[in-house]
Amino acid sequence: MIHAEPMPAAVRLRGEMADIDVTGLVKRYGDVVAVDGLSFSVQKGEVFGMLGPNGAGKTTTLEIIEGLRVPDAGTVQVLGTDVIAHPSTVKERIGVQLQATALPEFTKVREAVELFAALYRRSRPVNEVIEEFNLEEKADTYTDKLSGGQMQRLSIALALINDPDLVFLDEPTTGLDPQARLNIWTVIEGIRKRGKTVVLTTHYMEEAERLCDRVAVIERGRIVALDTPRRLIVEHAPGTTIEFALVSGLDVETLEKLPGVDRVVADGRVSVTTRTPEAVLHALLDPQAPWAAAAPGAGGDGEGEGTIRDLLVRHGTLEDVFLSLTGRSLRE
Amino acid sequence: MSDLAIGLRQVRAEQRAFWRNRAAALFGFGFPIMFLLIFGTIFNKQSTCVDGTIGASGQCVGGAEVPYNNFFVPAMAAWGVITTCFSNLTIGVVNRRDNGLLKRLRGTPLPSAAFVSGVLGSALISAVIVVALTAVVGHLLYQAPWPAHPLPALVTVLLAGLVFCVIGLAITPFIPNADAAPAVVNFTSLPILFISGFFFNFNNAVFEDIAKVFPIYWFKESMLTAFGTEPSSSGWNGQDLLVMLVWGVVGLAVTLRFFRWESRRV
Repeated sequence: MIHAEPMPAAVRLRGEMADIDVTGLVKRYGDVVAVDGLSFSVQKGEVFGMLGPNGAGKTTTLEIIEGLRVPDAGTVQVLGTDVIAHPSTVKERIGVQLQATALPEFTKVREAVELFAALYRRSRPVNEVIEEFNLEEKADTYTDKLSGGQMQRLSIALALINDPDLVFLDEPTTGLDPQARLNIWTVIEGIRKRGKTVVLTTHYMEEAERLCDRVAVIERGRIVALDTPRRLIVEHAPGTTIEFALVSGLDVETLEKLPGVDRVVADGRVSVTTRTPEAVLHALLDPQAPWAAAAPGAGGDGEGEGTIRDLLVRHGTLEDVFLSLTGRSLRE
Repeated sequence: MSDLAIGLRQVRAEQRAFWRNRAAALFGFGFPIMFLLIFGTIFNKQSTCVDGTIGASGQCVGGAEVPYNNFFVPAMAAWGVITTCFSNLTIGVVNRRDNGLLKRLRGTPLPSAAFVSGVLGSALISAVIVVALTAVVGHLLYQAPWPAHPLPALVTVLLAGLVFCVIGLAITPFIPNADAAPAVVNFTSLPILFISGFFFNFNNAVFEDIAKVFPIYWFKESMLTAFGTEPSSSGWNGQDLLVMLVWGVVGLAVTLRFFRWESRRV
């Protein structure tokens, strides 16, 4: 097919262009503003994460970039092409995995791969893809008979059938057991090793921390922070976090007055952030402290009401970053 | 790959899935064949009055007195076309809309037209098969004659099939979810089938006048003409086909305006 698209090809030759360039993206559903002026770029070969709670606008943003939705405002360049003007040009070169597994029914694994391979002008050999995703043994199994992890592997395999430069994974591990989740993480790391650009959404902070080069923290349709996971943590959740269940005689105000305490967040459990964990722990566990004395079980088995329970000491995570930026937990 | 090749591949995949889906195959084929066996056996050798009213002494006025199965075989064949094209297609599309497959396909370069051709093409193939099966069963068991005008019969089946497919697509946006789909297609088709006289001549002018609004009635008329049940020199009845065509155009307009590729956001 011959058709001229004047600028993009020439610009791409310089090799400086980002794989995705989004500016001023807005999408409304009735009165609800799902995406509220997002702007960001994703560089070639990067694994870019969109972290946020359900309803933050992650999926809507992704589906606009994939050419599935038209925004109310803003521009989107994908692989040097304006996706709003030329969605099919873009679709030929990207791989898409949607939130719902969405596999064809009454179809065997091999047939599903063949079916999707036929939709692209250029696609990888079916057997090669089946092997790569460890689906050989399931090749003649109906898609609805697969386990959750196998369905997800097939779904990602279908997203890679056209050997895309850019892959979108919408919540690739939601609903999977821990073993299957690890398996998918290995798969995604494999995609990255082949130099592909990956954009994924998740509400699992450990997933974003492990897989992503950069993370956009999204809330209510806006990016509230965008950086590498490490820098986000250093900037927004520095120090050590001490977590425990709140006990009687010990309230947030008292905790905030303890020496060395930087920040206290009570969200079911209490999270105390500090750069001097030893001193704070010492104060908290002091047997002479009023809350320790007030506790009926004090000095006993340590399980009584009034003692500090379910103590956990850890470094900051993206979950803390989110909490610190929005005052909300990721999975409310 | 050319658009035609993509379309044919889609048709093949749809057909494969159709025959593996026992519920769909049963829905499309089971009902018309089952009723043919039940009513065909009960009323075999009896006669019925087509296109006329039944007088006080039971005589057929203004129509033709024909063996019951000469009428019932083309009527059940027509119902088979409606179940494969309207009912099955609608249920299948709503299912795939709700499980996200339609949206997933939108994320590929597959043109919408190629996807829709696959669905329509497959439904039409199933429709031709159900008509042939009904005719063979009717002929072997009840000595119903073969279609008197094969070409008009084929054209009627294909045109009606296409029209009922399009009407099926047109109602999908108004079906809230996959669970509701079977109820909606049955509720919209079965009462009209009855008042259109697919099973008996109800001899009720009010029913018939209501039925005449809908394409189901005209499809039956057209099938009776093409099968030679109603006297006709050519087997063609332009008026029947025209009414169906108008419904098809309306269906197409509604589809283009309202069709949704994904379920409503919750």
